[in-house]
Amino acid sequence: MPGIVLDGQKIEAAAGKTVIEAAYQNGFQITHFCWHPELSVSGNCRMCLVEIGMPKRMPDGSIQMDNEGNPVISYFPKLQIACATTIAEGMHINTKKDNVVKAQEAVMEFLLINHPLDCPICDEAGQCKLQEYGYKHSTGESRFEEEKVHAPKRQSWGPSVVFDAERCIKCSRCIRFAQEVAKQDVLTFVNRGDHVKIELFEGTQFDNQYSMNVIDICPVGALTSKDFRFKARVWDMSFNDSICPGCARGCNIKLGVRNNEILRIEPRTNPYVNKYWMCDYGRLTQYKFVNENRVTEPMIRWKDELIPCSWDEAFAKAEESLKKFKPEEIMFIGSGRATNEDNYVLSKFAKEVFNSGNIDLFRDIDESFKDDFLKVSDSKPNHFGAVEVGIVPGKDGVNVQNLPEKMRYKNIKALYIITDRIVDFRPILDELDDLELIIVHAYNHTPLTSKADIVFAASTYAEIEGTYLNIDKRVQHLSPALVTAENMRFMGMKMSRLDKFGASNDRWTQHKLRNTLPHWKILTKLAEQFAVKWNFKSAKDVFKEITEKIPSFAGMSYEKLIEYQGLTLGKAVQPDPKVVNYESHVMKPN
Amino acid sequence: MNITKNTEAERMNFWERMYIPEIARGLGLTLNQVFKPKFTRQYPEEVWEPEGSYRGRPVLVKDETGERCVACGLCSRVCPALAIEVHASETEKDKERYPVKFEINMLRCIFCGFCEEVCPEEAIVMSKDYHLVFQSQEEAILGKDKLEVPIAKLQDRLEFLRQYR
Repeated sequence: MPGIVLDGQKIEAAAGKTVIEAAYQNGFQITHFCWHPELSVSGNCRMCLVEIGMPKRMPDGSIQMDNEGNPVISYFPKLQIACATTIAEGMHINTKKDNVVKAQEAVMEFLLINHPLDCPICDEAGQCKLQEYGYKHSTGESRFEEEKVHAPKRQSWGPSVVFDAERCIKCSRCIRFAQEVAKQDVLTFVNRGDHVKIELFEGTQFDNQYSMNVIDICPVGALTSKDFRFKARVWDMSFNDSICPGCARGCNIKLGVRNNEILRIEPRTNPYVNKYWMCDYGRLTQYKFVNENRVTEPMIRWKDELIPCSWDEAFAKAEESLKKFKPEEIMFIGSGRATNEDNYVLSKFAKEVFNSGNIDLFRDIDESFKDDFLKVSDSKPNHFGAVEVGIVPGKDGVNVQNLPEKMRYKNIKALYIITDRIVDFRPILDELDDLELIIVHAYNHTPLTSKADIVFAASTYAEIEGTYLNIDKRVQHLSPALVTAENMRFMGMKMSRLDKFGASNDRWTQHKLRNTLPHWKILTKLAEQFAVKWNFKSAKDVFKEITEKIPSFAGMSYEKLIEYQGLTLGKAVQPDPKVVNYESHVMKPN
Repeated sequence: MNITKNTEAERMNFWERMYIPEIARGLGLTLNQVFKPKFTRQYPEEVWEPEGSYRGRPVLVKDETGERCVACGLCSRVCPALAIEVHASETEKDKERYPVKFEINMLRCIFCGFCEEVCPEEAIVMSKDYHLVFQSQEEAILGKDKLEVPIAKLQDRLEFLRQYR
């Protein structure tokens, strides 16, 4: 590994790395706009100019030393771009010398000549790379007195992206993303000089399944999301780490929340799962079911109607109803949409309270959803985890294959379900009406909840702490982003300024809190009704028991999962090496 | 210091101990004020018109083209009392953004004027309005309907601000 000297500090990086890569992997930042670790180097923003030099060699090949024993460095007469210069043993790099600072200021001045500076309108404000560098690396004064170049604003680039040509600083990140990652080569530069513009080829649309990632990598606000445009300021939102529940890939995400409502989802860097990207499907769909049409409190059927009731009433009713059946007449159905903790407690509930092997779950495969990048055909985030923690039919137990038949012949009279999407129940849909009891843990009002006798209001992935197991057998941690009546005091939740300092009489705090509980908590409390006491106070306690009882989870803990951004099943002792995650531009302080 | 008399009463002479001359002097002072010009006024019948420099209730400027505010949210961010809540949305106008909701909680507002100072569009200014009476907490949260004021009424303040631009 070549050793280089960056601003007087010795660092090491693998051979073949560029200066900018070596710097960020060692925790240094070199200013840049166009460079991105997952994209090719284009070197056109000129912001990463640094002074680079090599030790002077004597005719015999040895290094010339000065009087104090330090090598004499001969610098290149002109500054070099750090993104395209490969490191070499003994290379000296200066990023803070006067000539470098002067070059950065000059580049910033050039970039700002035609930038409209409409930050008050721009959605990127607060997390804009140009804004950030404007403070750090610019004199703050413009000498440009002439008319700025005007370009069309609000150009639609496809179903999800809007382009503002004025704000664009021509870094070409989006062009390279379209070519190299999204594999839809529709963007290009046209014209020259200060009239250079990015345009779509005639008759094309940027309608790729990954198109919205260009919004994240755009260092300015030139690319904005049609879905999010102007909804909220970044500093009014809180961003909590979570896992996308859209498919079994388990892309790491951040949930942008204001006033207890998810407004946007953005990818979170995880080099072992989704790198810097996520698909548009996940981004656009996986927050709506959390915000809208929710079951906000437990409900009991009374005559032909579902009546809201208290949790105690619902538990008492559920106990009374379940006791009418023999254990082998009850079928428990787990869910790939619920966490490992939830499914573990469900299997524990079935086994310890009812001594039943009638437990299984539906798998949801959609081959048309699959592609060769991130999207996979398994459309539940945690199917494998649910199976791993014990949602497996017992020896003589009923499984989902013979369930319709068993229901038809009245061998199964009651269903206990911890998911709610009717699509999952297509095989048994016709049979549902004949059942005597259906208990559902539901997120949303669906045709299934309307058939249910008891509906427990369950917390979605955005309101709970837990773990998912993705398709590559990686256990990943999700943390709550929204508050419910139950998790009001969840410690460690990142909160926005409004959340922190709002009082009870402020309008933004007056949204109604959903009276929902995580699945495992509902089951724990229901088990108490049957005089079975489990000592689970938080999801952490449940996960601790999972790690003790299930060998493949041994050695894991929430702290470790967060630290290593997920652990592979059965390999908790040899986690993937931790790497410095590159972050192009984020809101600071985050 | 040579203190021989210790109490106030011991230090006073006879006339001083009588208090009568002091009472007469006090009455004289009061009587004197009766004939001097008055500084008080009969509020609320007589209303005081403040100068342009006065920081009253913050309002939104409405000019010929409509509201100036682009809902950038800087006033809300800078407000030390979290009195302002802004929700933005998109318009067809040149400035693509406008506030769908702009609320100032006058119970929180401390009249510091930071919102006016930070505003990039000169859209929120401090008015001369100081009669603020509310009968409930809800009433004290002013929406866009109550905040928007025609620019003609705010000329004094805008001129005052321009001196310091």
